[in-house]
Amino acid sequence: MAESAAGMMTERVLVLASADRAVLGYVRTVPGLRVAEAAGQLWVRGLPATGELPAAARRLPAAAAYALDAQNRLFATGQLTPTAHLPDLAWLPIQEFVPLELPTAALPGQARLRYRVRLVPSARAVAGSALLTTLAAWLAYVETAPEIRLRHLRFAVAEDERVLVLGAPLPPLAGQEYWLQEGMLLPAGFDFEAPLLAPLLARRLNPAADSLVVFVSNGRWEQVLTSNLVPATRSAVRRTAQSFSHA
Amino acid sequence: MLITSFLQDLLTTGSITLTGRPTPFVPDDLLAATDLLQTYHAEDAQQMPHSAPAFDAPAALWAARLLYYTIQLTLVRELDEAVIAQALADFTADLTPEVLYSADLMLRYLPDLLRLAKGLAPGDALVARLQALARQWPLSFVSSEMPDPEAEARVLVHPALRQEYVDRIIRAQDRRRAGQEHLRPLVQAALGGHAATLWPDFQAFTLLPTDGKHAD
Repeated sequence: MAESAAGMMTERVLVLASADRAVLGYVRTVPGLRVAEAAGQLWVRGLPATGELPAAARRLPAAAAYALDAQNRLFATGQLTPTAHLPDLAWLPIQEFVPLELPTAALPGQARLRYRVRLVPSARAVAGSALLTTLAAWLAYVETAPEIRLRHLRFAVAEDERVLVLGAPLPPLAGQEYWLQEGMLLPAGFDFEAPLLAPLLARRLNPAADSLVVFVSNGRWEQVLTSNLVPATRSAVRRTAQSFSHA
Repeated sequence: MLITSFLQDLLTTGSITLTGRPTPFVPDDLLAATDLLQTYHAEDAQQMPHSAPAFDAPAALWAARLLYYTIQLTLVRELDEAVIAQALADFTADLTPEVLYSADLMLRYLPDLLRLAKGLAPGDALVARLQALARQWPLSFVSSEMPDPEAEARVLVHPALRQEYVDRIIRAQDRRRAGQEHLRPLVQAALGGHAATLWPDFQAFTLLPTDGKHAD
């Protein structure tokens, strides 16, 4: 009897709470589904009358499941007696009822493109263009260095008495040597993980081209305004050192 | 004309105006000029390698007067040898490093005047006198007359003067001096491993034997 009743069934119908509207996305691609909403419930029809439900449909949190016959009577699962008639609803194909939406950022106007700069060891040998050393070492060198060795150098001093010396040939002092790429100073023996990004990075970090971007090997950087670089004369270095000793 | 005004013009604008015959300066003017020279010495010492020799007032003042009179004599060409000898008399005290450096503050302007005087009248008494000074004061006359060995030895004995002397030889690209056996190692040391960049033909001309006269 049950089999004969099942043989009269035309389709199956599921009922969900309206609050579960989002889960209909699971079955959006199941062919032939139509959906209607009424009295806080979502009605889904078009599922095959016999056999297993599609896997996606089985994931739906259905509050009730019915078999529907040709007279639009609803039979609860396994029951031979109809319990109700299918309501007269405005059915929509599920693709219309659950339209696709492009995801949008929560704060689209404020999102910033971020690129974490990574430096990696490089096999490329490039001539050094700058040296980071200490004010004490720099002063000791300048006191006795031949003038010809100073003539091509410029320098800037940080508050913590680190000295950046630029030019060639660089002084033979202990310190971190740098090479120059697109106005950026990279530690000797290191290069950007993505070297092709160097021009872009230079424009982003130094848009006015008024400074040198000095990197350390962990990818951090600091900027030195080119206007702060002064010719490496003995008097300039001595007076700078004196100003620090009086500070 | 005051020597103080002369020095102020020379050291601030580089432009001076002199007329007339050499005349002695009054004591107050010389005192003020000494103060000016001492201030200039302190500023210049900041540029000197090592520790610059201290200020020697008589030497600095002697050199200032010498420069003043040399300019005057360059302009007034009819003055005779006696006037030149009297106005451009030698420094008579010991030639210590302090004297050499303090005098150099003014004597360093003389090579330009020597070139000018040579151009005006190569054989006259003023040129001969300046050439004699050049041999006696080699620190101030780099790229000019070759020095007396004794005078040069006085420069080379002091570390600051020696380094400054070598610096000036390199700055002037004075090949004759740089080629000298006793100076070549000093110049080579200053250039270090960068001679090919800093003085491209240094190695080439120092490899040639030189008698001190034909290195250029």
